Amino acid sequence: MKTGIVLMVLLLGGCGGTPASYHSEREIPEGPGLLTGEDGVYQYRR
Amino acid sequence: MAYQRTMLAAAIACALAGTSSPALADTQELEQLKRQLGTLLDRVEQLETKTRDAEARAAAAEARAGRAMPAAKPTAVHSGNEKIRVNVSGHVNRALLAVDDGEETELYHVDNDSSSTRLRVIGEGDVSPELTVGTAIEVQLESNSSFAVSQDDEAPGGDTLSLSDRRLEVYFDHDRLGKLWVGKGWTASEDSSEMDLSGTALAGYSSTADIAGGIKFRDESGNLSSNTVGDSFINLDGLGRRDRLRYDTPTLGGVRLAVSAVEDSAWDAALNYAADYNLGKLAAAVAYSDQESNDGQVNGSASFLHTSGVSVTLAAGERDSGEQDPNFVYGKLGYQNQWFSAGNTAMSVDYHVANHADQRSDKATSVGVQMVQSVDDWATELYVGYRNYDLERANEPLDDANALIAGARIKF
Repeated sequence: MKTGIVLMVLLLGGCGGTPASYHSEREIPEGPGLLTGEDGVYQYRR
Repeated sequence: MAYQRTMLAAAIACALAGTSSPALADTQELEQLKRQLGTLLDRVEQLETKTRDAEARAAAAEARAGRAMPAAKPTAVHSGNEKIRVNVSGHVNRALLAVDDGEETELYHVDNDSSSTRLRVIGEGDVSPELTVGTAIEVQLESNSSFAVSQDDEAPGGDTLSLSDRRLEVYFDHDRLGKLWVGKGWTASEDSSEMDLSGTALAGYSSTADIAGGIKFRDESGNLSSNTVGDSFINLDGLGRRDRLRYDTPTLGGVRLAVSAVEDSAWDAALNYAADYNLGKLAAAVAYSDQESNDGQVNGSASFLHTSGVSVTLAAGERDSGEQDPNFVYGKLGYQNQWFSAGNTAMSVDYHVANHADQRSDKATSVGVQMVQSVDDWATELYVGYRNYDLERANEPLDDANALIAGARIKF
């Protein structure tokens, strides 16, 4: 099983897609919030 | 308009003067011209009144529109360079959980542990064009975690606030050199068994025990045993969130390597991959972790979302811990589409087998069905999930448990 998993990932890494980011569905969602609006966060900048 | 009115009167007066021939000396004709002049002046007055009314209505509409439109960034305070940012975000995730343990059916009011209620504060400063220094504070607030409620304790913790730290860390993120993390947070191997692009992870994913982990199996006499769902349905997801020193390489071709030195002499390493293809999106991870309680563990997962909306998710892992050597395999088939204008609809079925988790003879099998409906305008996801838990143990027949969870996660 260990060998299979390592081979699978190495094989996928060689497939040559366009690099993308992964955001877990279980973390705080990306995008707008009900109260925070379009930004999705309360934001302070200086 | 007043200027036009004056010009019109002057023009008519000039016309009258220019036509003062003997033929126009007739009194009746003069009176007729006066009446026409009066009519014209009345008409000009009416036009002026209508114009003033129209201008007033336009001003009122503009004021209403201004009140209705939000400011461009209502929560942002801007000044000169804007190199320092503080972002506050979070979500609330509450659900109803019904569990049939073969003897009784109970209803629980829970915080869904698949994505617990939480609050996050991220502070970042761009200290150079390539380097960002950051801080992360993230806490979890759960009342009746779905992983903790059980037949003999529907409200674990009672009225005491359940507050736990998820992230308390600083990080240094360099464009070319990578990212260094110090403090409590995700170890390198965290989430390596949980890559999932199905859109239904809220209702069910490879950690199948999250929605009912505290539920106890009943023996053939109907008595509660000490064996819980959480003890048996494992997904060997690396070292989780711990105090550690972690380093991530920059992402090269979608591949990123991460290693961490973790408290209690543990360490781990993980390879993550995410890429878009013509056919869809792929996310995968594989990890190795080592800690004092075992002789090493390898695990991984991969999830592919086809452009048609069909997704396939696989995960597996094995731990070397002497005689017991627990392992698991997991698979999920999903489909998502936007049937409704409100947002995406995702559904899936999954299957999980975990062996030797609690005792060498254990074989735990779970089948689940999930659905998540997004409501974009409310920043809300509505979900429902059903799961059957079957634990086979030598010389100890146990009843199946069936769990149905339905709830909502709202990002605030």
